[in-house]
Amino acid sequence: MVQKKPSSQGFYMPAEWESHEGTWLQWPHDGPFPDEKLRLESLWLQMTDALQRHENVHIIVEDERQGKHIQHLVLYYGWEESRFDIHIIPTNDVWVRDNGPIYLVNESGELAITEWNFNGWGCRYLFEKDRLVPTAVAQALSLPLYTAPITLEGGGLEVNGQGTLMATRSSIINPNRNPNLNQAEIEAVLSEYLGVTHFIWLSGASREFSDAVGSDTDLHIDGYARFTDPSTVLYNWTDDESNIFYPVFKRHMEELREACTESGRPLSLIPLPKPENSAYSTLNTSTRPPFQVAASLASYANFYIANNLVLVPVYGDINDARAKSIIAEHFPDREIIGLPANVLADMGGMMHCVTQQQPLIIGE
Amino acid sequence: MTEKVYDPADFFMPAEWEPHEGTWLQWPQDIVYTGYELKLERIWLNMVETLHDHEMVHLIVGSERQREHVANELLYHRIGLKNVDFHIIPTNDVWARDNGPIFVINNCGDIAVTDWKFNGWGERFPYEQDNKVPAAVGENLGLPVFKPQMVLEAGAVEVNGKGTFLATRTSIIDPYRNPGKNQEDIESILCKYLGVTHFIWLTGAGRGEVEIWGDETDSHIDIVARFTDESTVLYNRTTNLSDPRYKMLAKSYQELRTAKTESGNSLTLVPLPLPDIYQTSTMTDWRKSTLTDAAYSNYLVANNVVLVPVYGEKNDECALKIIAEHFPDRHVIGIEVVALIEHGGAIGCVTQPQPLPKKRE
Repeated sequence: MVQKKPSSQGFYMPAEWESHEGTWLQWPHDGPFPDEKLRLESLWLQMTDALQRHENVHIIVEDERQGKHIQHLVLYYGWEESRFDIHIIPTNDVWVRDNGPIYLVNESGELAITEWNFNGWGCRYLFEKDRLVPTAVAQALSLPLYTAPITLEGGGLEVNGQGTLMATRSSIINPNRNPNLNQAEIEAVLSEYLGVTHFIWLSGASREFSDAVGSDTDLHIDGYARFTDPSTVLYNWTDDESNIFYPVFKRHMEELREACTESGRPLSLIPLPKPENSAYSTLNTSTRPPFQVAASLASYANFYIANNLVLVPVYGDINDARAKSIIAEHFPDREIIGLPANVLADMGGMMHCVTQQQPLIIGE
Repeated sequence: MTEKVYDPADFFMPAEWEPHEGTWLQWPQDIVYTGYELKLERIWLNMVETLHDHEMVHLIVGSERQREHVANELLYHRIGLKNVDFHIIPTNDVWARDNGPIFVINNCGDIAVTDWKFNGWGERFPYEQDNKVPAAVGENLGLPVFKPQMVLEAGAVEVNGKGTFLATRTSIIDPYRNPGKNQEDIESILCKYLGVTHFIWLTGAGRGEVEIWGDETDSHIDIVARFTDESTVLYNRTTNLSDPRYKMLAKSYQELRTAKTESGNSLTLVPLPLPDIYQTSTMTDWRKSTLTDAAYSNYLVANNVVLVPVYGEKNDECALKIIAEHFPDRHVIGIEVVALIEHGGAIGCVTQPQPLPKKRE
């Protein structure tokens, strides 16, 4: 039987700021980074603490031992037990945005899951377990599952909920994910599986540049530009022409200036500063010189919008307050919660990369 | 049988790099505000993980419930309970360096606790419970407890173990801490209880000024300068004129240049960078400033290891390197403390070393 395409059932991916049923997290366990579980747990605790006040928290754990650990934490911290939903699903790492289910809704009040053949960001990391997460979640929740015939990650796309999809070419139209597929073919799949009708493509960057700055995603859009409403985009910017990211930011800005929404309106463009002093240093495994240091991918654009709040990655950096104010102006009714994300940034992502929203079905 | 009587004048405070029996930590609790424990816990687990192979780790927890929780966390993270020892003692906050016991030893293999008065850094924060910690520790360990009639936090004290005491005036000779006592009165108490013979006083910066850069200690020496051996001092230096600490640190440097050790030698002075002006990144409503007193000098020297606060900042590497050069036989471990620094301190402020007693011939 040939499965119908989700868009033919009226399914589409809502914008992140629309009401959530909950948020999915993959709880840290021993992954590719030294001491990953220990280094990350406080951040997961803080995210959970904030989120459980406003929506459900679905937690993917690796085994029963970890499930018991979470149950203990829920009791110890006095969280609302009914808000928690724990699933034992094997994973490789924590980046549920990228390997997790992307949810769709339709006007009939239905919910569905799409799956996108996660391949470890172009085969950079192990992915065999992570790849199976959307299927496992669909089974656990008894939801329809649509497997798209291309590879992409949730962090690689940004939608305004009205039909426009924004992404970088380098993170999707890339032979390391989708060999032999051109832009038109990829757009056709995105339209069918996410219900989008209009595309804004930013260049992203070459593999050489990604490797030089330590981007394992080929510049996912969620570290560079984000919708805050159907026609407003916050984009990373620096005035410092000597910054390694400057040429990329500049090109993206020019491309955004040329872009319009599905209804032909130009975008309102708001620059977001970049953390100034951050450096990749917290994952040092050396205990004697030389110690590692490198440019950090730290970005404020990687915020996560949830019911009544926005989780913003902060770094103790001189630009933290300004970034939080800008984000606050665009989400006037939500609490802005800054969480220290230095260690996570050194592992390659921030809050948005480790969260995945499950929208509330329409009519609820 | 008569109990042995100890004279505090026979005891002295050893340098931090001398062998430790262990280190004391106060586990974060949700007393200061909700979310404190879950926000900070990773840093405490990290400290236990890096210390417990080399020395005892004494954990002060608030209740049996918290003891169980911490033990669970240590097992869950596969750190284990080796060399970990729990004490249930009520506290106000986490700053074991400042309210905890300052341990002193003598030449006969004895160890004692000095129980200085703690008044919340000059009545800035609640301190009722914290002030009782040294007496409780002395009692739990069955150690003699000396009670100097003076307010003092160990973060304000730097000793080279040979008789020299290094501190800022603002953090000790302070009307909010020790009204009515002049420098001479204070020096004589310090001589008696810490076994020091020679003083290097830096001017520091005090109330009304330090709050600008988020310091509530009136320039504790552990965020200004540290001994790394009998006559070498790492001092914090910034070349950033817009850093509000610039003036105080520049003055401290000038004062260190003319200072001598107890044996009359000049100090070898080595500059340590600061993280560039550092912001509070999350909440801390009580703060008068959005800046923090982030410094690399707030490290802990322990057996075989030095725990250095790092900030995910461009100067981290340089600071680690300089500290490593001065502790050539120790592992230098950076611990990321962004969540802690905005509460007013780093690794040095939350750790209290317990020296190993030894008999000297």
